[in-house]
Amino acid sequence: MRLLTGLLLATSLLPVSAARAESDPAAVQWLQRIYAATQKLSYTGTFVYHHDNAVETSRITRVVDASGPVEKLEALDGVPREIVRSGDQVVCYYPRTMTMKIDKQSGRTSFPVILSDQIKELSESYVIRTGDIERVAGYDCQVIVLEPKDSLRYGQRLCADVASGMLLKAKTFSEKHGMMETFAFTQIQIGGSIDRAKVKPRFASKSKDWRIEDSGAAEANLGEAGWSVRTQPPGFRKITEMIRTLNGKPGVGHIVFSDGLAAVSVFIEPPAARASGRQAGLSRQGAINVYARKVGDHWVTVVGEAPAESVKLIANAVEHRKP
Amino acid sequence: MRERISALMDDQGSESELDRDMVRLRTDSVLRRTWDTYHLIGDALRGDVAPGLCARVSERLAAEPTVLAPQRRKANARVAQIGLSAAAGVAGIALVAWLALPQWQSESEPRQVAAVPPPAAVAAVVAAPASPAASPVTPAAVGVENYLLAHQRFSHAIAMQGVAPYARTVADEHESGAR
Repeated sequence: MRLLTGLLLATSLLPVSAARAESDPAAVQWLQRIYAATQKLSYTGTFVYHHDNAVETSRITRVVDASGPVEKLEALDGVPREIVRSGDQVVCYYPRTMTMKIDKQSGRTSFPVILSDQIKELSESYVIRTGDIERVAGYDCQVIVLEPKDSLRYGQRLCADVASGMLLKAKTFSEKHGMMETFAFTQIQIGGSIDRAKVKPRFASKSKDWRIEDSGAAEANLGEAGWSVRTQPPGFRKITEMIRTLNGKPGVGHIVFSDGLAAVSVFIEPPAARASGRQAGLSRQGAINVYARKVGDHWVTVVGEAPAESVKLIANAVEHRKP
Repeated sequence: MRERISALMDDQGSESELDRDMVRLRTDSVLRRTWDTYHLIGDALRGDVAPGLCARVSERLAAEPTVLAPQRRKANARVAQIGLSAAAGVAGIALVAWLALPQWQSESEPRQVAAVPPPAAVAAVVAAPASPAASPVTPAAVGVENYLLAHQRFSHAIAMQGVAPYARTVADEHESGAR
């Protein structure tokens, strides 16, 4: 049938391979500028997270002063919640359920640390190049594109303020699906004096009686317990592994892989830890794919901002041998 | 019936079949949409569409006002429409899949598209967002909030965007209420 032949032709022409292209050193420098700006800048603004068919608005403030950086994200739509990050601790406040979730990474420096080595590593999996100058939230921005060299990761299109290096827009895309999700400031004040009160949790004084869920994360060797991940997609390597409390249940293994940009987490839950009613299989939100499967009587849940293919590949490589 | 539409487009079938098909086309809106879609795809493949239409559709999409509180059904219908009109602008199915995809929660299906499906499957791609089953509600958000919270700090996006990616940890009321 004519139509079919046409389809075949059209689909075969679609993938535009970037595999042979080289990263532009100027673009790599831009990335370093963005990382540096994220470390040192204070700012306050409104931004939107756009994924699937939803748009969520948040207010974000970051204050850096002598006592170190503190950041706060306050959701303006939907269920009220606040997330405050300071040093190696992240605290989430949920006023409706009067719950406070604490995630503290003891024994390690704040993560991720970006070294120039890691940016070089990025060039192995992505072609990094600069694009045009655009305007975002009233600022002139440089476009930097990280194009994946294979289908095992998503691409990123970044827009950073020309003057300060502040990242104002980040779009995750895939060759197959187009835009997966976008983070973008709609209004932002970069630098200047920002009142430290703006990063104080609004619920701090009320939260004394709240229920506290502490992740109690601590580095651990899951191999000793017989767990291993046989193989990873090319470019991904293990970043860390730990034992933590998840969904209120202790003893959950957590292994993290990264290709320098995208991270994939593997959660291994002992039989009792898994809430009933959850099913095996794949689900997605924006650029985050989640894949759950049973390994023996444990549940393995893999979560990452990577294509389903990669998330599944990692999930299916999880093995348990009696130590 | 989708095979019948293909046959109809290729001038195959007897006159009595043709009459019957025409009646069904007049009365069945789903079939009519399939018919339209096939023609759009056909036009696009033959290059019978204005150059740059695809880019213009994309531009218009990008320029659309942000819906802060999307209504599920409505949003679905909109995407379905865009999917249809965009099909005209693409030399192939890619954009159809691309536009339809934000609705999809499973990535196993798009692979069927890449493997050149029969027209019936193509129509299914376009029609998918219109069906109530293809809900924009992201199942990942339900029950995985805690996983996302735990995962988020290892996202290198954090190194570039600070706390912003935590916006992904959509606390659905049910989830936080249940715990």
